[in-house]
Formats: sequence, structure tokens, C-alpha cells
Amino acid sequence: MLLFLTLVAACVPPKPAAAPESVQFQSFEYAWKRVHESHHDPDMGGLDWQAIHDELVDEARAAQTNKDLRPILGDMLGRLEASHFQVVPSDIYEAGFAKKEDNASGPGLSPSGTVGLEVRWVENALRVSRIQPGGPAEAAGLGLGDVVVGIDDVNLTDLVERAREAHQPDGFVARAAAHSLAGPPGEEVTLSVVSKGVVSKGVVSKGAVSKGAPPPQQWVLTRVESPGQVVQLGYLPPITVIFEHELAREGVGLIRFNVFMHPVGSRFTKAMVDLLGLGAKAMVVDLRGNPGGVVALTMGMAGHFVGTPGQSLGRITQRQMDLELRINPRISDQRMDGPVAILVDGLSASTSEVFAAGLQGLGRARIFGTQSAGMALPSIFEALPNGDGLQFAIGDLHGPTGLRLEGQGVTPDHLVPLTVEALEAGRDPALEAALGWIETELHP
Amino acid sequence: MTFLLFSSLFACGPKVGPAAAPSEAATPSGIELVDASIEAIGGADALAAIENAILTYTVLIPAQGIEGKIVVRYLAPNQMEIHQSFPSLSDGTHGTDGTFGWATDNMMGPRLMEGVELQTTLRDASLTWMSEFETFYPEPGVVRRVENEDRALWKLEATSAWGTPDSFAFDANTGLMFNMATRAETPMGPIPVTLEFRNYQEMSGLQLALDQSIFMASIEMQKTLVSFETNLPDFAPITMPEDVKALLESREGTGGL
Repeated sequence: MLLFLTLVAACVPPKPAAAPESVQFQSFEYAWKRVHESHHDPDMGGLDWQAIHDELVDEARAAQTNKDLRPILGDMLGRLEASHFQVVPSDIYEAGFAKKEDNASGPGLSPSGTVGLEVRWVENALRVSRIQPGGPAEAAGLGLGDVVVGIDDVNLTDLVERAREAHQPDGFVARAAAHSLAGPPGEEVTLSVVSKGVVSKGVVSKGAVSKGAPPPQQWVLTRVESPGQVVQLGYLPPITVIFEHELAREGVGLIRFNVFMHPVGSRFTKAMVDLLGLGAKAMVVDLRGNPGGVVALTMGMAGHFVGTPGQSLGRITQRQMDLELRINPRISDQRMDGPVAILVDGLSASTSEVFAAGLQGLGRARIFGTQSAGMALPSIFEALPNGDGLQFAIGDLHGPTGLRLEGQGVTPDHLVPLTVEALEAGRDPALEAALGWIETELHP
Repeated sequence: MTFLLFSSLFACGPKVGPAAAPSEAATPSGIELVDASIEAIGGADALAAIENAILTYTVLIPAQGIEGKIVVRYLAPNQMEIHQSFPSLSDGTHGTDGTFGWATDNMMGPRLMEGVELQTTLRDASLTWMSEFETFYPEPGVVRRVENEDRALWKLEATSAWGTPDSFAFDANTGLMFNMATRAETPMGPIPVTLEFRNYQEMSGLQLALDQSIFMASIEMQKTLVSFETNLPDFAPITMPEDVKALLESREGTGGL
């Protein structure tokens, strides 16, 4: 069904390309043309796309390397001021994730590595929000609430400043940090960290920790193999899929996964059957940090909570057609008709937002946490002639209430921000709030 | 997507040669074009002699780097099962036992087809449905001559019995189907699709288009026929998948889900 979701309308005749002079120039022309013919708005959101081409074409013609071209493409795509337009450097496909043809179990992908921690933007700083038991971060003695100010040679406080200048939300830095923390197993990552207890709100400022606070310590962690399954679909960068489910408490199931990719669909069904078998009468789906994935999965997964045929999670609008994200109801043995809570945060994006906003709009789920990313456009990845990948949106997306998700995101029914105090106490306020609501629903 | 299948059998090379094609001098009727295409494939009798068949395809979406495999099983007169696998994306089956139409995969789960999607699937499950073209396209349609890459074509535009505006283009010299355009009915809504057929070869006594290009808007999928086997003695029955059976039983037992 992904094929159905990735249709590209081609109403605009392709512009005759200039004579190819290099793969960089060809890539520029390809990217410009594909975005032009695929954008959901034939008027390109009011931009003069041809003028942008003409403005940048000489720079593109002069680009000698992929590295030269990327900022030019970034400039062009950035004019759209929308999510899901980006260039994926070819080394993302190659480094550390190369296909292993000599794998004893057959061809596959190399495992991804993790340092065993997650980070979130909490109270004006990037903080450790989750530590994997037995992982490198725990072994090194890092703690919840610790402030991460640098990863390798990236100064995160500088990055925050740049993000603010670009009108990006502060949570953007957490997304960038998560990307930097991942990589091949066995490689070292240097973290600059100010441990909890020695900093307080506001002490992290541009370039350094503020006066009076101790300097950050350097922690060199070696990535270990991530517990998840690495998958790669076409020209999407390789992704590690992590899926967990458990009873959060008696009668309440908890499902958490980090991305909407194969094999999450079948794992979700198995989790539902398991949890229902364990007596779950309500469910919490934790989508915090989940950047999205294959949107078609939402129709099957939402069917575990919706029994009425014909319901839609939202509508994808393209130039030539509209597509409804029609929920496929499951049989009662696989369906949970009790309360559903969904947890989101600023890193919940795209397909996560479709799922959450869809069930929220249908009145089938309550949303807990913080505002989601507002990055929800259907998109596809294609290869550029120079080997880089191009992600570009091919449609617009609205939830069942008509809400456009791009730029707005999902507004929680219960706004529950993460706090330093909760982090350091090992508490999860959003989950606690969800469980509290479920308790009142199950036992009014 | 089942419409893709019948076309694989009808997008064929010249079995009987140009003489079977409608005259270029006069505009043929739609039914004449269809009859000529059946003859070009190998004839209605050859198709009717197929008791079962297995077609295996490789699939590539080149721009996106997505590869897959499709295996189609036909059992005369009206059963069909299509298994599609795209690693890291989806793995699923859809088909019909002649009464019910179903689809199940690892993304959507099981479902029973309804409406136009079911009607189309039931039609496509018959290898000989084009011999009954007027049943499925009651109105005669419009025929006109068009050119495509210096190829003379007769284009038949007809509306199906369930209201789908379809078109079929036949090579004016060979009578063979060159392309077709339709509107695929899916749970998400209708999707316009165009198919082109190339590289005709004889396989198991029929002339088949080994290469197909499928255009869904501007996404192109390339489909290559790898093998075509017919009348296999150990052909396994086509049965409804267990999860679809459970869904059906759930509906029959409760009147709903």
C-alpha cells in the first residue's frame, strides 16, 4: 500500500533541462524538477519556483562535489519552509550501514549502534531522558537529567542558537543530537556533559556553561549494537526498529516503538493479542521521539482500536487525487474497545502525528505530553544522480477534523511537559497522567 | 491491483500475425479490437484450456530503489491468489475464491473486498473474461486512432459496468494490447493507473509481454514476467487465508465486527 501513498501527481510539464555538465548539476535539475512536478500546490505556495531555479543554477553548475551541491539544494528546498524536503548524503547509506553480503544468515544490514541513552530538550537544556539498562551510558555513570552540551565536535548550545536563528524549535536540537548519537557499533562518541546537581535552569548558555558552574566533563562512550532490527527501504536511510510492549499496570497495556516501519505492523498486532490476553482493558501507545515512517501502517494499527468501518485517520491531498487513510477494523479478539492514551512530544512527527491526531479527532484517544513536531507531509525518497538521496513531499495532509498537521502538530488534550525534577526522580509525568486518566475511565 | 494481472495475459506478442488485426482502413468496433487481441494472444480456446497457472514477476520502482516479487496463481474458472512481497515494506496476499474477495498484509491486516474493488477482482480472476467483454463493458465505447512513438494504435474508451472509465490501446498492426488506463479502486479511494506492455515473447504457448511499466501518477513501477507455468498437476488449492476466515466468521457470527 505504500505505493498508493507515494503517488506523485505530474500536472506540470517538466522544464527542459540544461545540458548536463556534471552529476552535481544533473542532481540539481532533477531535484528542482521533481519538487516542481510533485508539490501538492501547483502554485508552489506562492513561490516563483522558476526564479529560484534561475537564481541558483549557476551555483549548481559550478558545484564540483556533492558537498558543494548540498547547501545549494538546501537553500532551494528551504525556500519551501516545509518539512520532508531534504537531501540525504550518500555516506549515510554507506557508512556503518553497508549491506553485509557475507552475513552467515544471508544478506542483511549491519547493526546500528547506540550509546544507550536518549535525550530531550527539557527546561532550556538538552538532557538525558532515558538510559538503557546495561548500556554504555549507564556503565559510564551518566544519569537522568544530565545536560549534554556537546557530541563529538558539535557544540549543541551553538546549534540551539543557530536553530533559533532559523526559527526552528529548540526541540530541533534533540533531533539532531539523536542523529549524532547513532552510528556504527564499535565507534566512539565523545559527550560533553554537565552532570545533574551541578547545573540548574538557565546555566547553559552559548558556547559554554555559565559562570559558577563546573565545566562539562568529557565522556567517551563506545557504541554497542542496538537491540533493535535494522531495516532499509529503498533510498530511506537505514533505520533501527525497536518495539516494546508490556503491562504498565494491571489491566493497562503499554506499547512503545521508535518508528513506523516494517515489522511494526505485525509486531503491533502480536502485542495487542498478548496484552489483551493478559487482561488489558486500556492501552497506552507511547509515540514520544517517534519520527514517523510508512503512513499506511496507521490504517492497520488504528484498526486495533476502532471497530466501525469507514472511519478515516485523515486525508492526503495530491494534485491528481485525494486518498483517505481509511482504518481497517480488526476482529474483536485483536481489538481493544477501552480507553486509549497516546503519548507525544516535540519529537513525535509525521506518521506519529497522523496516528495521534487521527484517533484524537475521531474521539478514540486522549493525547498526553507536549505539542508534537508539526512535520507531517507525505513524502518519498529518490536517488539523485550524484548518489545522494532526495526526500520530497508529494502531498498535504489533514486530520479527520480538517486540521492541517504540517506546521501545527498535535495539541495534547493533557499538556504534560517533562521536568528536570521528574527526570531526576526517575518519573514519567506524561505516562503517569495517562495512567491516571485511564484509571478514572475504568473506575469512574 | 488485481487489474494488473489480467493485463499480463493479454499484453501479448503476435501469435497469429498481423492478419488477425482489424483493418486499418476502417475504424473497427471495440468488440472487434478485443476479439483481435484474444486471437493475437493465442485464441480463446488456448486460454480456455488453461486449468491453472502460476506467473512470477520481479518488480522494481527504480526511482525509489524499491524491489519486490509478485506471484500470481490462477485456478479456472474464477479463482485467483496474488502474493506480493516488498522486503522491509510489505508482505501480503489478495485474491478471490470466486465468491469472496480478500486482502491481507502486514500493514493493513485482513479485510474483505466490497463494491467495485470486489467486482473488479472477480472479473480479473477469470483468464477468459475478455471473451465476455460486453458483459463487463455493456456500452460499445468509443474507438479512435492514435499514435504513440510512431506506433499506430486503436484506442478503445469504455465505461465498465460499475462505472470505471477505462481505456485500452491496441497495436493497429498486430492487434495486441499496447497499453491500458484505468482507475484502481482501493480502500483509500480511486487511483488512476496506466500500464504499458513491451517485449512480447512466447511462454507456454501464449505470447506474453515480459515487461510492463505501471504508472501511478508519475511513479513508475517496472514489472518483469520471469516465468509462466500452466496446468500444473500438483497445483495447490486457492484458499482464503486464516486471518481473513476469522474476519469473515466474525462478521457472519455477529452481523458486524
